[in-house]
Parts: sequence; structure tokens; C-alpha cells
Amino acid sequence: MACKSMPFATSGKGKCRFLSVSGDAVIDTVSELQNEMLAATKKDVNYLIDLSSVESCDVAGLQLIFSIFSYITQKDCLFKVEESSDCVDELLTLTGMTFPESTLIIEE
Amino acid sequence: MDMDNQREAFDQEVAELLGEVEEAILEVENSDDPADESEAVNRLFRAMHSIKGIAGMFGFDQVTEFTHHVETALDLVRNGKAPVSKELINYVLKSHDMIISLLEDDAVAIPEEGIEIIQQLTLLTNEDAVFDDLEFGTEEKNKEDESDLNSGLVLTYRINFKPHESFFASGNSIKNIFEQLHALGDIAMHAHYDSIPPCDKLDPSVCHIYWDMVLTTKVERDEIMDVFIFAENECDLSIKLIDEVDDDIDRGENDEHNYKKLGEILVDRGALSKDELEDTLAESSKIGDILVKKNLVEPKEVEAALVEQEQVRKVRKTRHKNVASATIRVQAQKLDSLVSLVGELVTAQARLASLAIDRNDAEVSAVSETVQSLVSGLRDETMSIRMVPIGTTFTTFKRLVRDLAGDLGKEINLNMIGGDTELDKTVIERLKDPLVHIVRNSVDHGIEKGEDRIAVGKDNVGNLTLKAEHTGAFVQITVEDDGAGLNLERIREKAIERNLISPDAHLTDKETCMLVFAPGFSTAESVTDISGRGVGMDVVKQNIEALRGSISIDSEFGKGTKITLRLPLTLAIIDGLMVQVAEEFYIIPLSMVEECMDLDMAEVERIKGRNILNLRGKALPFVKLREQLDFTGSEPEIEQVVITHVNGMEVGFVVDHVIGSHQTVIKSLGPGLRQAKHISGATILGDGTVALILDVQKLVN
Repeated sequence: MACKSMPFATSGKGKCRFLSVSGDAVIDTVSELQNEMLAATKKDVNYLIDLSSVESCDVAGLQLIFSIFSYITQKDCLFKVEESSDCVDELLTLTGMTFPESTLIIEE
Repeated sequence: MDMDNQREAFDQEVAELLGEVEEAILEVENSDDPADESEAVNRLFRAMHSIKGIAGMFGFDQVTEFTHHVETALDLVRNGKAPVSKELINYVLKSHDMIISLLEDDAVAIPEEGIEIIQQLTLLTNEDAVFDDLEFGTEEKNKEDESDLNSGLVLTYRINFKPHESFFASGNSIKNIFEQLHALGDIAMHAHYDSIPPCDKLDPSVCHIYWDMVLTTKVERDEIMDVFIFAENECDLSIKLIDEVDDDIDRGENDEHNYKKLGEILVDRGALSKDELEDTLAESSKIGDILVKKNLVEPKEVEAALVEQEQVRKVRKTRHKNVASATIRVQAQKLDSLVSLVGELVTAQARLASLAIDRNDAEVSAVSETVQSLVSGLRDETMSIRMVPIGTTFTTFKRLVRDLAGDLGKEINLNMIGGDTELDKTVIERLKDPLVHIVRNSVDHGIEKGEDRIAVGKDNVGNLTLKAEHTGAFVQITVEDDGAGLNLERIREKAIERNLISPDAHLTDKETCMLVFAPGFSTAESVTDISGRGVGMDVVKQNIEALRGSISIDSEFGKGTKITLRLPLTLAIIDGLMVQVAEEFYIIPLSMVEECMDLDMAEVERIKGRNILNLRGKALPFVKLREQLDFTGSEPEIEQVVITHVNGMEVGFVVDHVIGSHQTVIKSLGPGLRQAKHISGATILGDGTVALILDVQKLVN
């Protein structure tokens, strides 16, 4: 399976931004993905994270996703995983890992 | 690494593992100590397990499948669930041979013979086995079958899985591993991922996650090990059975409360030591203090036990460090290239030395001496790299003697002495066939059957001893038995019959023994599958002489026979004695030279066509090299004789001058010169001229 590029979309909503991850989050792509994630989360704001477009994921990719959580929280910001894809959910179940609970509340 | 190199590495690895299998099972057979037997069974199991793993990596599916069944049987043995028996040992040895066969043939299916071996091993280790259950299909199907065999038994394992940092780079997939684990049963997982660094500090190629799991399943530990088979070296893995329950037995209401207490579980998991637990529970001192306090042991006993414990721990730690350190596998071809280059360097150094002398230049002489010293050191170190202990060859004879003796209905005790004696790798490889032949002869014709031995007052078990030891620049290998010995009369009769000697020839016992090396010579009453055709010993002698070695026999009728091989330590560079005959220079291997002296014609006699020299009261036959090598012209006024030790006897070689010792880099003769009489090779002297290396044995013959 060829590695795809991982375009990011961030859109502003006051002090909260959407962070969308799409494509493959696997060992072959994590390096590039890491750079894009860091670029997309430069601002010290809260993030609503959408993983529904992640097409394939391995433990290296999952580890990277968890690392972005720590990165955001170390800046005293909040995050919430809005949606996740089947492959990510499956991997979480397989590995016994769970996304951290978030205290980010999105006001409608 | 291209495919050829990979396949070569695979072949080497498997050969070593198969050697380990054979050695371990023979140790099991010969062991009297249960602890030693248990250790040998464990080694055997591990070797089989490794063969299974790497065969699978290289696509030898039939080997993987076959070895899996053998491993299953061995696992029952090592867990004490099946006994060691002679039949089991025989079938394990047959398994070893079958694996070789499967690899050589690259078999697409396990042959009938292999299936028979598996069935027999299964019967020997599992009384309840039903052969219909043993189907040879996919691994998944096999797993199902085995879990059916264990129906009713539910096993719970604690699995600690900690990938190394390099795990991702190794190509292994944690996802695949967990998919397989989940398929085995009910699994509770605890992932440790707190130490994943924040994204800006993360190296994404490094794994920071590890797992503690509890798996409840009906499969055996090996099935779980198989899940990690390709990742074993890339992680810290621990799989421990912590509970075993027969599903068919109702243990009652209290069963759920009968598992370990928290403290015990923590000790079991290594999170807490037993001492710490005891301290916390009782707030008292260590077990030793408690025991002393209770007057159960004396304080000095506790102290002595602690000293012993510490000492053994220290020794084991040191041993582990020593064993784990500094060995590296190098291709033999690279070693050969290195030896060749060192040989060229020796020649160049000789040239430099010659120039230094010619130019009478002190500075150049000094440099030449330094270079000579360094080259000598380099030569010795390079030669030592090629040295391999002969014990590896000796070990293969355990199986040979065992099988041969079994076939012939004889009992033979094989002793091996000096296995750590080292020889050049090439010499050892080329020595194997001659040694095999000598050993087969000894077992077949030498050592008698039990009842025959008893009839002549011997023990019913025969003795065969292989011994190796260094003697100067040679290695001496002896094969000695306490069998029937050679019938010298019979040998003499046969030799006369074949016109090898005249009826009135006077031969010493040793010379009579040497007649067995004549081509086609055999006094065997019958030809067996094993030996007796008379085509062996002459070939053995040729092979030994091709190694620049010698062979001799000592035998006493009714008592036994001893065959002695003398072999040079190395074939590439030797210390030689340079001699001059007419205008030509020759090299005699220094290891064969006993002494040099001037030829005193007053001590020379000619007896029955032979030149004999009276050497301190002993008759020494000698050969005039001028005559032998067809030189014309007159010899010098005083000739010199080089006394050599060849084939168990002393022979002199008369030369014009003895020049001195010479570090001789052996160059092979080209195809056109290979049939040259009396010459075994050549060397290049410092001034670029060529000196021929004399084949002393052929000259003597």
C-alpha cells in the first residue's frame, strides 16, 4: 500500500480549532505526519480532533496520535476527539488503549 | 544482503542448530544425572524451536510443520509429562535426519517416513493420542486440534510484552501480534503508554508502549510463544502460567477466592520482592533473621548460605558476560583472502630482507627487522584465526559409533580426549572422511562382539578412544581400540599373495602393519556394508599425505590397534628448511626435520641396494637428492644429511648445503606441474627465485 500525503485542515472557532487527520497513520508515514501535526497545532488554543478520515493505523501511528494529545495538554490547552475511524477504534480495542477523557466542552 | 548470502547464513545457522540437537539427544542418552538430563532436554527443545522459527522465515513450511510436532513431543518430556526412553531417543535422531532431508529436497510435503516419525513420537509421549487427530494442514487447523486434545483444561497466562525501541524498525507488527493473541482466548490488557513523549520530543520510530496482559485460553504456552516467534529478539517477553483449571470439575463456591493474595501476585510479577513483602507484612527482618530468631538455624549457617548465594550469583554473572562477549562470525572466504594477503606480505618481507643484505644498508636492515617481526606476529595471528578445535569433528563420531555399534550388535564406549586441540579449518574439513573410515574399520573389524570379548577374558563393552594433542608444529591424532588387533601373519600372507613383498622379505611388525595401506589390500573375511572392500585405507593414507601429514599403525593381535595421524597445524605458511642441491634451492618442512649433520662417508654402507648411515649405532637409511632429482655434475667435498622423521621412521636426505630455516609461503603447483615427482609445492624466495617444496613422504616411499 502506497503512503498518501496527510493533508490537514484547521479552521478557527474562537479559541478552538479543528484538527483533522486523514490518510495513513503508519510507521512509514509517521515522520511526515509528525511534522504536519506540529505545524497544525502551533497555536496555543484548544483543539477538536477528527480522526474519522484515517484510513489505516498501526501502533506507531497510534503512538503519534497520543503524543499530540500530550503536546496540546503540556501547553495547558484542551482537546477532544470528536470522531474516530473504524481502524483506529479497532486498534484501540486490540491494544487495550483508550483516548484520554477530555474536559473540553464545545458550546453550540 | 543478497539471497545467496541469506541462504548461506541460513544454512550455517541450521547446521549449528542440528549439531546442537544431535549433541543434546546423545547427552540425554548417556546421562546418569537427572539434572544433566533435564538440561540436555531443554537444550534440545530450544534448538528444535529455533529451527522451526528460522525455517518458517525462509519458507520451509514442511520443516516448520514437522519440527512443530517434534517440539510438541519434546515439550511433554521437558515438563515431566512423558518419559525419556530409548525409542524416543531413536526417533528424535530420526527427526534430525528427516529435517536434513526435508531441507535438502525442499520438500513440498512431509514424506511417509516423516509422518511415521511424528506418529511414533506422539505415541511415545502421549498415551491418549489418536492419530486421526494428527492432520497435517494449516497451523490454524492444528491449533484447533490441539486445543481439542486439551478439552476441559483452561489455562491463564500472565504475558509481559515490552517491545524494544527498535521494534518498529524490525518490520514486526504489534497489531498482528495482538490479533493473534485475541484469537487464542479471552485477554485482559493493560497498556502502559504514560511515557509517550509529547509530539515535539517524540522520535516516531521508537516504541514507547509496553503491555501487561492476562490471557485465558485452552492452548499451551508454546502456541502463545509462536505468536511472538519472529519478534522474540526485538522485545522483552515473559509468558507465565498462573492458573490452571479443569473446566469439567466443579471446584465449588470458594474457588474464586482461592487465587493468590495481592502481595503474592506482586512478588510473582516482580513488582515486589519476597523480602519486601515480608518486611511490610511483619515489619521484621529477613528470612534468615526470622529463622535464627526461631532457633531453626545457627547464625553461621545463614552467613555461609548468604556467601554461597552471592558467590554463585557472581560466578554466573561473570560466566554470562564472558560467553556473551566478543565472538563474531566471519565467512571462510574472507579468512582465505586474508591468509593469502599475509602470504604475499611474507614474501615481500623476504625480498626486503634480501635487499637489506645485498645493499649492506644499516637503516634498511633495521626496517627490515621491524617488518619481519610485525609480519611474524601478523602471520601467527592470522593462522590462529583459522584454527578450530577438533572437538567439533570428534563430536560427530558419537552418533556414528552409536549407530554403527547398534547395527552390528556391539557395545562400544567412545572416549574423546583433547577436543580443544586446534587445527587449521581446512585440515579439519579434509580430515573428516579419513577419520570416519578409520573409525568404521575399528568398529567393524577391530572391536569384537560382546560374547567374543568375554570368551577371551575382556569386558563385553569395547573401548574406542579418539585423542588429539599438539606435538611441536604437528597435531597428533590417535584412534585406538581394545579390539582384536591386526593378524600380522594373515597380512603377510596376503601381501605375498598380491606380490607386494617377496616370500623371504624381513619386515618389522610396524612395516607389516603398514602393508594394509596398499591399494585393494584387505584381509576381511567378508565384505560388510560398513567396510571390508579394501578400498579405504590406501585412500585414507593418500588423503593424509595430501594434507602433508603421515599415518602409522601399531597393533598387537588380540589386544588392540592404534592408528596415529600426524598433521601440520596449517597448510598455508610453514616453517621450512632451505637446502641447496646443485644450483637449485629446495624446502623441506622443518616440522619433519630431526637434525642436520655432515655426511661422514666412513659411516656409510650399502646394504641390499640401500644407502645406510651409522648414526650413533643406529642404521639410518638415506637418499641422495642429487641422484633422486637427476642432477649431473659433481657433489661438494662435504655433503650434508638432513635427518627426517617420516611415517614412523627416520630417513636421511643428502644435500649439497643446508642453508637454514625459511618462512615458507606455500604456492600450489599449476595444473601442468601437479604430477611432478617428489614435489608438493613451491615458494618464492626473497630474490624472486622459486624454491620447490619437497614431498618428503613420496621421496621416502
